[in-house]
Amino acid sequence: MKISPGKRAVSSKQATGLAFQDAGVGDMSAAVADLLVSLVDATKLRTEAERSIVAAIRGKYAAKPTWHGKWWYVPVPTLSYEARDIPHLKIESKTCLVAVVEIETTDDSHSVTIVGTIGKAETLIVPMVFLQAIMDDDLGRFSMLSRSSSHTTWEIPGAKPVQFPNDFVNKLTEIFKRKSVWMWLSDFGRQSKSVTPLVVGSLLGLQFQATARPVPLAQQSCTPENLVATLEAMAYPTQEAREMVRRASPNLRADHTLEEGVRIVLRHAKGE
Amino acid sequence: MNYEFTLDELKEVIRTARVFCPSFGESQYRDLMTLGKRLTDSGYLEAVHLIVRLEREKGIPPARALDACDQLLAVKEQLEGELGDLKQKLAAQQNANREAERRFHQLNQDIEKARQELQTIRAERQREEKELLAFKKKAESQRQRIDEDVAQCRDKARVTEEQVATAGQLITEVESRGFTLTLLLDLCQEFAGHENAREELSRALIERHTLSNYIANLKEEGEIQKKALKLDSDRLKSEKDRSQAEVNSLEEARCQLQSALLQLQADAGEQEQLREFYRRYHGVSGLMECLASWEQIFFLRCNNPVSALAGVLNRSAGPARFWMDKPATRCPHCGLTMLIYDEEAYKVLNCSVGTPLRLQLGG
Repeated sequence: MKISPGKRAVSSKQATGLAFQDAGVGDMSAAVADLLVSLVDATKLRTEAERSIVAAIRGKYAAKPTWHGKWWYVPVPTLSYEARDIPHLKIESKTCLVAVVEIETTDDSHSVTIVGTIGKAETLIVPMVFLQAIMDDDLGRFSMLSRSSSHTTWEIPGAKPVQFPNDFVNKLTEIFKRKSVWMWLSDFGRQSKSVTPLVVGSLLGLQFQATARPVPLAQQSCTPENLVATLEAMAYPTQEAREMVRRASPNLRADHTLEEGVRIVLRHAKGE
Repeated sequence: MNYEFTLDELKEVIRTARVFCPSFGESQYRDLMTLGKRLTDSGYLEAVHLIVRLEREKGIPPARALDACDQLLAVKEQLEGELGDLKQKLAAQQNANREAERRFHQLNQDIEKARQELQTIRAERQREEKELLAFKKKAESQRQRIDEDVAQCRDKARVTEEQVATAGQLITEVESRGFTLTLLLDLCQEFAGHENAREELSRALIERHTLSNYIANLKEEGEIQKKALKLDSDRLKSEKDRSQAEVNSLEEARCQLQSALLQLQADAGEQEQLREFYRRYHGVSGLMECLASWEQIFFLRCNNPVSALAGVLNRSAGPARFWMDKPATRCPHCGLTMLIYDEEAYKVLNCSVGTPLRLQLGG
């Protein structure tokens, strides 16, 4: 817990800014914290928060000073994209405590601001198909396995069920009515720069998946680019796919179909 | 907002898209970007919207849009021709509407005016009804008051209503017989002093034979008595005039005596004043004679400040006063030359200060 003199926050917005600054994501928008506020269980965190504040105060001032104050819980997310199993956006959220405390010692009084992480990190797995459904306002395509006043568990075909706070889904639906995915991801600041092309690409792929006519692999030409793309579609990383194609290239011929080429590459990789 | 990716990012986008759509390529992405840019152009969207609308509303496919447009233009030209007539009709109808509206306003104004007049008449009627009611109440109260007055008058006259009715009947009866009530009352008065008027009248008729002789005799006696009364009256009047003349002469004598008495009282007062003057000034008459023998008299006083101061404390030690027959230069008392005229003496004699005075006594 960092403790600094003075009242550095008097509102939730200022507390959010302070928490993001402390976490090194100062360019993140406060709207992100508002979106993820449902990941924070204030009731569960209250005891820990008071304990952390007392510990911070006792660490700086004499034993058992009296204190009173106001504090906020700010979710600080970390964004990442993963393609394994099913492509998804991963949001890992830590809770940052921002407390403005009035301390009274035997001979003096002080105002301090305490900032630090408490509780366990919460992780949200947002499959791309689910994100696309939110964008299209078409969540009805997924069936609900269970629903409470705060959370809903959704069945995702081909993947494990995912549970989301209802508030998160509702807010995200409203956001996509006003913003594009690119704009929404830019709210996350610098960390969204590496994630945005992946998310946008996934969503574009999903969008065109329904409209594009699939060309059978047996009718496609066996070029190195097509082979790499096919292997990437099979969740091989790009570099690994290129290396696999490069190693199998002595066995490939120009009159091979793409299907034959892929089999040769995979057999060659398995043989190694 | 800049939606452009870098080249590496673009490759990554396409590669990721191919996970779900292997046929997705850069050309599709470019098409998307182009579409995005076009969507920012409102004219493009409007054109697309119009073509879609044309297809939906008119059932014209986009390929036939131009032919349909030519056809619609021709229709438009025809409709514009009709539009002129419709505009004229519209203008005429608008004029008619305005005229109707004006009449409607006029009618409304007339109705409003009539309504106001009706209200005025109603108010006036109510006011007159109130006045009539008040008048009725007043008349009723006056009638009651008159009834009360009549009753009081009856009480005062000690007559009853039946008596009044009887009197009315009596008057009617009298008038029906050719008499008047005054005549009847005079006759009653005539015979009232006679206890047995009928017998007296019969006796008089017996003595004088006729009523005319009796009346003539009465008149003659009356003339005699009138003359006697006139003589007595004249005699009393002359006695009264004589007495009045005596009273007037006595009054004149009284006034003369009173004025003589006032004159005598005034003479006595003057003589008393003279006696008092004589007693007061007879002792100094010699001094007055002596002063009258002087050619001139000067009234002087010493202006010694020491004497003036002493005079404040003791009047007898004050500055010396003295009369001279010549202008003096020194005080005969203290010998100082500080002399001034005695203003008090000159003021008593009503002369200007320092004027040489000669005392003149009366003969």
